[in-house]
Amino acid sequence: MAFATIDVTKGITGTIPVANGGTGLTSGTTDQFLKFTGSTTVASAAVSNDFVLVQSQSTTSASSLSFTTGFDGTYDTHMFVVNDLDVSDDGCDFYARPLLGSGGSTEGNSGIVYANSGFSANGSARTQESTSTSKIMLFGGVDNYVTYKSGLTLWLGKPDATGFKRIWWNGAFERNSSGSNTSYFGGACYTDSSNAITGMKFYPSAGTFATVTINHYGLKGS
Amino acid sequence: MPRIKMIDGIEYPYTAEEEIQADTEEAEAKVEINARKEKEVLKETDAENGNKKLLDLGLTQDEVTAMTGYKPPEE
Repeated sequence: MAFATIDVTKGITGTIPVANGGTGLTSGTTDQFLKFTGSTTVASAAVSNDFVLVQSQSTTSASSLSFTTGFDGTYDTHMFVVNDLDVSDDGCDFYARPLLGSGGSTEGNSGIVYANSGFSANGSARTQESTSTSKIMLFGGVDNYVTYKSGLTLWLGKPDATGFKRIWWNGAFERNSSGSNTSYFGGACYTDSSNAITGMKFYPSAGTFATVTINHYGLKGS
Repeated sequence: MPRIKMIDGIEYPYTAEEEIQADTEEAEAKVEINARKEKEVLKETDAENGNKKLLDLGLTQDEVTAMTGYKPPEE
């Protein structure tokens, strides 16, 4: 007579090996995943945390957003994704500034060099630059227009390096003139060898953010 | 209305000293932006005038654009 069902809670003892379709395991580690650690071996493994969301901040009223968490040497590169950007004051610029000292308590408002370049849908080219200033201009002339929000990604490399610190970004925004969907890219250098960057501040040149979400990611081994 | 700053997800009012600094920076930024706008208008005007002079010499718009990169605004 054929078996209709098998009660595996009673009919099997021991651990089923991988070669027989099992895991070869009797237990695992909470919050970890199964991974082949050999051709016939399965084990618990943690998810790689080389790329980590450190912090997310949103506002509809603040004049600046600052990030001071995660600047403790854990990450080689810091990435900031700015999304849903709209400003209260039409035509203002969008800036960033490094923060220094313990907990990002001091603004690095000198020794900044930057150059950026943009190209608008109406064919106009845009450039801005400075060899010595107090802030990094990420976008020049942002539209206050809820339909056309802006976004960019900015990277900060080796914030605690002994030497100058490099920052670069690219993005897209609506300039405050018609037909001006604009792509932008730029690079900046913080020319201070003695102070580590311990935070980043983002802010419009006037007024407040109308909307914005900025995510801060940390990258290891980069 | 006093300004608000957000640091690591927490909102704080600007201190009196920070308000003064922000007012100063905002005024400086407005001067920079106005100067940039004037420069851009002048550049656009120069490009338009130069384009017209080349067309008056008998070049086609395609030829001028190929040389200078200037494209007249779409009507």
